[in-house]
Amino acid sequence: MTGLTSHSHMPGRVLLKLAKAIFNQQALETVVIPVLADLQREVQEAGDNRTMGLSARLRGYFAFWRVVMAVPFMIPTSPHGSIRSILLGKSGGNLLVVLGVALLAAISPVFGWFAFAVIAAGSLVAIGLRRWNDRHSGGRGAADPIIWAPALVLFAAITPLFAWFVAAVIVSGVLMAIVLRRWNTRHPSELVVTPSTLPDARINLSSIPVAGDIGGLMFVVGSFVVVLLGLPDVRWFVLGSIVSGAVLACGLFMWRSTHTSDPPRALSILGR
Amino acid sequence: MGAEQIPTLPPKERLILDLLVSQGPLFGLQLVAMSGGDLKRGTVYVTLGRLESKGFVVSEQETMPAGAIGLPRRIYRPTPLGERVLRAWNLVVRELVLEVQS
Repeated sequence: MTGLTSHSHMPGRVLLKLAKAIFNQQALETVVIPVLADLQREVQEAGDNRTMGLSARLRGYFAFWRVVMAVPFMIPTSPHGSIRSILLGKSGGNLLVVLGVALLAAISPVFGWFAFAVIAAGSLVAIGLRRWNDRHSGGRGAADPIIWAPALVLFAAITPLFAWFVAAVIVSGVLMAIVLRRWNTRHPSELVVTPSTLPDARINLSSIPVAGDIGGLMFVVGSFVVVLLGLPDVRWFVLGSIVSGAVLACGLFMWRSTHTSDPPRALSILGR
Repeated sequence: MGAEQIPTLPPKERLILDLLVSQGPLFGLQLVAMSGGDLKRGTVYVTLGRLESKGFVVSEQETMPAGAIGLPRRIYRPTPLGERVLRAWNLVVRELVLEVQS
């Protein structure tokens, strides 16, 4: 019945190792291993018929990758479903890995080898940083050449593609970093502490606390500047958004000050 | 019983339960083959896992004969609760259809 005589010839061994790295035990046992078991069984049943064997392998591999894409969204990640377990945990699958692969597949037709080059360079930088950090704990942080040198190389690599936009981003980023650093030194801010009595955070942007301090204002203004530099054609849309957003914010502030029993929180930007 | 505690049975889960109740214990690939294209091999185990967590089906690994190679498959069978839920669901659907037609 079969041309396969040992475990070393069974298809799906590498996929099983990969799955063990990115899925938790529950997802492995209930979904991933059954899919690979079907693949192996069908290949066995195909015997020496190459066409049927190839067809079984294709069906099995397709099913495996479909499962890889589906599991993170379909298997409950944890009893609390915390964002951290979805993004970083092995419970339900490492969503970041899956999304990274999906993103690469999506941008490859547009950017071609550039996408792979950036990923390779990014991986090398990550490995280098990790090795450096292991050997030199307590280093000089962002001032260290091993941090800024690869970034500079990456900027140089993409300069032919994005031209002056890259230079503008570098200059504005450096200026913004200096200003933020000086402000933070003079006005140290307090970290947002979430009370432990609150339920786990869900994916709900409206519930994320945002500090309306000068740092937030600079971030927003910086984002607008970057967009305007990169996409000057949308300048009127951006300016219109600022005006309508400001009008909406004022309206909401006034409505809350007259329709709620709690006094509205003062905007810290204006209050300081 | 609150509304959130009423067992629900989406179409794919109902189809799987239907097949398991009518055909007896089945492997995942057998369910795919018998579904006439409604179940896909890539996602049938996700649905089966959900049914298992609801307590509507149970599964166990197949017993591999001595000398067999490869990963063991899982065989699925309905639980008494799953059979009751399927019967109740079919009854509700039938009543609803009659109600709409009358």
